[in-house]
Amino acid sequence: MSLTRRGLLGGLCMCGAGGLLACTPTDPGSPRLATGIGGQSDLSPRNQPGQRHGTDSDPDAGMRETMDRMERRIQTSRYRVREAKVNAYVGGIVQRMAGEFATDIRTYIVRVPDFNATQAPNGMMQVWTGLLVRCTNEAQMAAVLGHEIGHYTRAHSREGHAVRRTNADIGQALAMLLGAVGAGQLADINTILLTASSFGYNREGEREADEIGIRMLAEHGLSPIEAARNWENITAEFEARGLPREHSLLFSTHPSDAERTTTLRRRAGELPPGEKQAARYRDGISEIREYIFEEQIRTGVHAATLVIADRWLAEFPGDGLALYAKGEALRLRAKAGDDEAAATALDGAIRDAHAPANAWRSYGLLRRKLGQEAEARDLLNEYLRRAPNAPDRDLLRRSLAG
Amino acid sequence: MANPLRRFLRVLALVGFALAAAACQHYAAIGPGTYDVHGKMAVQLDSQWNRQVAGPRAPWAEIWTRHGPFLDALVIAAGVAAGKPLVDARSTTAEQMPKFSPGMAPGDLVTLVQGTLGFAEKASDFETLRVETARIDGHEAVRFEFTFGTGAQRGFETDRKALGVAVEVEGQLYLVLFHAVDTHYFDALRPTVEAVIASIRFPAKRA
Repeated sequence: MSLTRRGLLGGLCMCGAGGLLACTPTDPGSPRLATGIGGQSDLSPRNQPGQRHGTDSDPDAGMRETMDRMERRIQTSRYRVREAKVNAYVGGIVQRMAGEFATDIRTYIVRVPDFNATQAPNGMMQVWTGLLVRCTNEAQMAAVLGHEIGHYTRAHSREGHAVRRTNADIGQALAMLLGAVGAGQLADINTILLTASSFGYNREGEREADEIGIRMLAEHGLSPIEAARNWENITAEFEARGLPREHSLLFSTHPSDAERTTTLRRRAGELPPGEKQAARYRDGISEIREYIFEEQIRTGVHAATLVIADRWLAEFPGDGLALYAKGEALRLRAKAGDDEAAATALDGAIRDAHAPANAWRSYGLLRRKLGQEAEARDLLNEYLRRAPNAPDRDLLRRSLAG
Repeated sequence: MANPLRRFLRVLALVGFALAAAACQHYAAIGPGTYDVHGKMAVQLDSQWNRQVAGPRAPWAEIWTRHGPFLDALVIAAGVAAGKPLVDARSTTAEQMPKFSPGMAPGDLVTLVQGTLGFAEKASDFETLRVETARIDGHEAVRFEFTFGTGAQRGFETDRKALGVAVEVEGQLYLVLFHAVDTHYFDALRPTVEAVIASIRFPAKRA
């Protein structure tokens, strides 16, 4: 059976702004920590370690082949983050949490500024940079990684594909039957019900993956409450942007954010508290932290950048990179009162060791706008000293010489 | 339902579908010669372009292409007012898109263009290569080049390159942005695009 790549992508877990987590644990009363990876609970794996699906006459052969082709492409992609330390850090967490599935899951960090991670049925996990900038500690990131591992061990993509295939067969047969008895008009209702059933399978898979993810946090000494905070943070970001988070009872691929937050909060209360590991996270992603903040700023979604920067500042007060992101977003938004708030943030940024060279550029341009030319010149000269190969160097040098 | 009525409704549905399909992909040939952009800006075309005549874009924006927008696109925004996005006018999208403010610094205009491409084309991984000053019809302008990628979310990515000029005249922004696939199409069309940029004129605008 042939499959389109788009169709397959639609079947992958979309843990992002387009729909995230939520989990109704299969055994809500039990505080046991077994993720099921060891086969000790009702969330035991459907995949086997080292198992390779989709060979020869297997109906999943097309899916496997398509995923393998996508993985080969991502290995040479411009989007792939290649920095060694961050790959070792993120990949290492996946390896540790995946346990006996460690060699089956391969992690790729991908430069896309949205909150998302995906797990393909062939073992390819993608972690988007937009996820990394939105997490402020290791537990938050690990909750999503554990969720994705859960999708793999429970074979959700493969099983979901089988459900959709079966539903399509049933739909065809019922449509023919209804047509034969003169009730062809009911075929549309039949299609709607079967489609809703497929979405229902997806939502149940997301709940299972959420439960596996939060159990993994507890097993590895990480704070389970951070799994719920991911969803609270996404809700806060959408509210700040003035965007509705729409949820359809029948046709959503994921449970609602509210359901996920409530369930994960309740489950976190039943598990050991664990550590957030915020400093370890900041150090683990240090190679690309400036890139992912710049990437977020360039989206032009200032409301989201401000929420993210404030979240980092709550975790790391005075962090120069977060202060720069806040100041730059305010300067670019330029609403009433933004210039003054931007000046405060940028003034703090350039006093911190984590400030990027662009903080001096941003502050210099702001001072120039406010008519403080002497201060502006000092700041822009400092920017050029720190970033001698900046793409706007000639333009700024000319403006400083004039 | 009577048969003639049912037949009429079927024909009506087919006509509606055909019209909707045509509206989705409707281009008209323009050039060579002088092309007037909404009476606010004029350019000289040395050859023919395909102008998108339908689509979700702001009334001040134009989208042209030579080989189809997936391969190359020339975006013109003529007279973007303060607080408005560069190209897209769909209400829900426009509200979220980055917007123009008079007096923006040259580098900030480039950020504005990149943010717009992020929304409109799902573009990411921008690398700014050059930001310079230029003169366009006597006005001080910013000229820029950058690379970026599209399609990462959909699994079929392309490397693209962009060049453009932006100029603020009487509080409104005028932008010509060309972006194309970085293998063949960008370099092949660059001389034609440079000629379009060099020919920009603002009728009745004081330099």
